[in-house]
This record gives sequence, structure tokens and C-alpha cells, in this order.
Amino acid sequence: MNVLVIDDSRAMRAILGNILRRVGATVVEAPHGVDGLRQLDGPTPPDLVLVDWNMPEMDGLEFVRAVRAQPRLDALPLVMVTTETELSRMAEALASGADEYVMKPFTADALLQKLGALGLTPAC
Amino acid sequence: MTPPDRPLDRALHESVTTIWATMFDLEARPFVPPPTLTPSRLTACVQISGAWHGALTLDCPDDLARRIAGIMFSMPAEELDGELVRDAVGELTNILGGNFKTLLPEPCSLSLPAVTAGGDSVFRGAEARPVGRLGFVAADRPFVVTVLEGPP
Repeated sequence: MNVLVIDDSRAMRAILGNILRRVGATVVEAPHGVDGLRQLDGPTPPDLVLVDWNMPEMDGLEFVRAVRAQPRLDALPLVMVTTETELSRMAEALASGADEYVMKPFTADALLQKLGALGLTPAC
Repeated sequence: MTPPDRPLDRALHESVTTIWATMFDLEARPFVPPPTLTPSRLTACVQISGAWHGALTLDCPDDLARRIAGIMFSMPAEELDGELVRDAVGELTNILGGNFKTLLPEPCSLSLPAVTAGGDSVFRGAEARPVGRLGFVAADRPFVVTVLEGPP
């Protein structure tokens, strides 16, 4: 599985990348939504995107809306990994096209369980 | 070194200990009264705006900052440059701020974290006043979490 991790924090990208690589995923990174969108321009989009909410340039919610505006990316799984805790904001993210969200801090098991619940197994 | 009494302090204490256990597998114990830290430290801040205005800051000695950064990057602490250590402390403060936000009225939003070295203040709200200051010790090193409330 190819996973795109978008977070302005290099530390958080490292944490997510290490968890995913340990279970066999190939991980590419982007520091904000604009760069993330650029990486989706290629002919083969990733199998999964993990995206932070609070980022410079383009935040996670704007990224989700921009992805869902592209019909060819309609089925791309988008998971928000965020410190955002307000339920109304989470509902907004899901209504905008995010498939799931994971709150920081998280354990590796919790993250992988969330992905598993979406039918996503990083080792595939 | 007992847990704090006030509801805000209790909630903040619980949040900090949970985050340190989850992210670093480290026990963060109360340090009462909060210690005065040496200038050899990083100070990170996230500002909160919306239905409540203020900031949360984390003061973390350099060696503890380097240790937690090593855990976050899965790298030996001595191999990390200063930028990676500041990034790690900023992200930790972002997570602390996000969890603290659950105690506040909605809606509120967080700024991106700002990090400085040497004990310089990173929160410039002139009229902000401390409403919570908690000391902790983890891995035998002290650190301090402060909540400031300020006008919009």
C-alpha cells in the first residue's frame, strides 16, 4: 500500500511513517495541503492519505474539499489525523469528504485499527 | 508531589500525563510547586482564539526536549539537529493545546505552534494572565505547562 502523509510537523510525519512502514506500507510525505495536492497529480494516486488539519498554506479541511472536487479521486480514502476535538468540526470534516479521523495523541494500534475498520491494511 | 486540586489543573494534569504516556511511554509526575527552569530550555506556545482567548505554553529543558524528539523521530537523540528538536516540541505543544481545547467553550481554534530557545517568551499577549501553571517531572527532568488567558 502506498500512503501519502501530510503534516507540517516533521516529527508527526516521522511517527506516522514509522508506524506505517513497520507494517509494510510505502510512505511519501508532504508538509502541507498544497504540496499534497501536487503529489496527487501523478497518474497513480496513493492508496490512502493521512492528513493533518492545522497546517500552513492549505489546511486539512481545504485539502479534503479540493480532493473531493476531483472526480478521479472520489474513492481515495482520506483520514484526518488531528488535534481537533470539537465534534461539530469533525462532523464538518466528514461531511466534506473525509472518511475517518484519528485524534492526536494516538497509539500505533489505535491508528491501525482505524485503518482496518476502513478495510485498509497497510501491508497490502 | 500530589495531583492538583483545581478542576482546570486536574484536567490539564490528566491530559499531560496521558499524552506523555501515549507518545513517549514516559510517566509525567506532578512537580509541586512548579520548578524554575534554567535558560537551557525550549519554550513552545500555541495561541487559542474564538470563544476563549489565551495560550498554552510548554517549557522543556534542552535535554528532555532532545529525548522526546528522539522518541518521536525514532532516532538517537544525539543525531538530531536543533530544528528537528524544535519541531518535536512544537508538535507536542500543539497536541497539548488541542487536548486543552476540549475544556473550553466552542468554537475555538489553535494557532500553529511557535518555539523559542533560552526562555524567551513566545506569547506576546501583553495583558494575558496565567490561570494555570503546572510542573511535572519525566525521565528525571522537570518541565512546566502554563495556561494564559488574555483579551482578544
